[in-house]
Amino acid sequence: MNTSKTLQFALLSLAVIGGMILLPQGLGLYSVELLNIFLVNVILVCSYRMTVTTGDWGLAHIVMMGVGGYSAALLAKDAGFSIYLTIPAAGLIAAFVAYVMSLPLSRTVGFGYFIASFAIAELVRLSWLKFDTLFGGVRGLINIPIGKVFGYSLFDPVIYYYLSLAVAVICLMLMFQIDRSRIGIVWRSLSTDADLARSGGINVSYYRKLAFMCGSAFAGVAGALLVHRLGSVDPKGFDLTTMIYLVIWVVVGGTGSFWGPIAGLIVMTFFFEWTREFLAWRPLFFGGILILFLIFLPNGLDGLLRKLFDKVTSRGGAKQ
Amino acid sequence: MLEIKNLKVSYDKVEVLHGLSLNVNEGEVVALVGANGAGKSTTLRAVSGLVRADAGTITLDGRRIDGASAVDVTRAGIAHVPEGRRVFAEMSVKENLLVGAFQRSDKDGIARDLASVFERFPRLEERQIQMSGTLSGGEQQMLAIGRALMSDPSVVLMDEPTLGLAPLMCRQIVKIVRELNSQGKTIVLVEQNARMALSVADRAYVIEKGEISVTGTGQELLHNPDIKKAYLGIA
Repeated sequence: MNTSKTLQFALLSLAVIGGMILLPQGLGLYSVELLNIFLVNVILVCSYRMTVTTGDWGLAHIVMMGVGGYSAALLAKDAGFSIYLTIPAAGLIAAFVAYVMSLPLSRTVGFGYFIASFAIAELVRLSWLKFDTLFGGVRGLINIPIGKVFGYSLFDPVIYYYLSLAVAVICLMLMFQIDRSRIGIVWRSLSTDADLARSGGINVSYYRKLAFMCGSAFAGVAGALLVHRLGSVDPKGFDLTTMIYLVIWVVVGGTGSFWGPIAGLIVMTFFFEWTREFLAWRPLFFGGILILFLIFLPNGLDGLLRKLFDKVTSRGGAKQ
Repeated sequence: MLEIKNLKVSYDKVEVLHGLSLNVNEGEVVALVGANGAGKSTTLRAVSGLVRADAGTITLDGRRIDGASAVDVTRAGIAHVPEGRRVFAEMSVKENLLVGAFQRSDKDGIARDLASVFERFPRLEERQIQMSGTLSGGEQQMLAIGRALMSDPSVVLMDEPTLGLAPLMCRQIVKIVRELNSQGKTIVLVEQNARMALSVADRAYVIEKGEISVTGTGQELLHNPDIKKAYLGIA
């Protein structure tokens, strides 16, 4: 990136963040609550893309979010941690659990990884049901303290929105930097040709584990934000259905660029709200959209925009 | 410098190398020629740690490297340019090169080697932000070689670098091999194009069914009547 492009990018980011700061002023409380969930999901989709850049499409990510959520809930309830501590701690604990899970998972590839990630994540999720003295079983944990920031009660959705926005901006900046770093390049090389990467002297299993841990850490942070907002956490929230929605957001957006999954999330969130009246039909709509994208736009909205952009810019016929 | 002794390798219990031995001295270009399936690529893959040897030893400067991981072999100074000019198609030319330098931490050295790869292959510099999948075959092969050079190796293993390339491009590859060699790189060249390989090599080994059948200098083998008949298509 040259300097003028960097400047453009910085200005654009500032404009978006400025817009996000002003946004709740014109909205009702219900919309602000939706925005809170939206910010959680922004961190979630970006963190899922992070693990997916290695080519490891798995079904464990939503449970990693749950690990963060349960960790934050327990730390806040039983240990009395403030939200400043529970959010980063949730990320660290999720990363640690991800490390343990990745020991067997990194020995599988492709379809094997896909299924194994589901199985091992389900194991974690079912343990929340089984060990009910600690995790509260089916009902989960309730009355999770929400706390204050700078003397303002986070119970107010607008205040909570600003906290979420700050956390989301920090997480996105970190993830963006990692994506552009040498580690990000290596992750992408694994999805293109893992054997070739190995022959170039890259420790493939180490970098796959690292990607799963980093992605899970940010998912854990998202989980903590979600749980503090809802005031409760239960195993149902992190089941396969929720995971499929996450996959749909990311597939619709496309994983080719950092921004693709966020675009997918925005479009599908609006779609989700519009289909509120047709509740029973919703899974059918979403399934249909997933199939249509996989057939006609396998690179998602990101790939579509890029294709259009290339067409517009190369119309002069000059190749360079 | 690089010494292979009595190497045995099998794929799924089918033995493909039956006790192969060869040695490569520092600063040499050594060619391995032979028919399809003779075990040329397998030999390279065993050296670079991509397949495990059942028996035998591989040493680099006296240190055993058989059983070492591909990561450690690369770190020890051996770079592998795999067959079929493989590049990371969905990544840019520059990113491909940076992946090659991954296990190095000397930033200045990496920048210097990147500049020297671009100097050697000006086409790659012109196209550094282009997706490497959109390069021509010859350019992809240059990129694959450039990526190997980014690990600053002392030994470069090249697997069929001219396969499927136009004659002009093949000559270019020969020139690159000579240049690299004159700059101090030791090169092990696997080729089906025996004439090209023998003409550029200091020494060569003919591999037949997993064993060395003939060895000699490149010129000797080029004029060996059996080799002429079997590999050069001259009766």
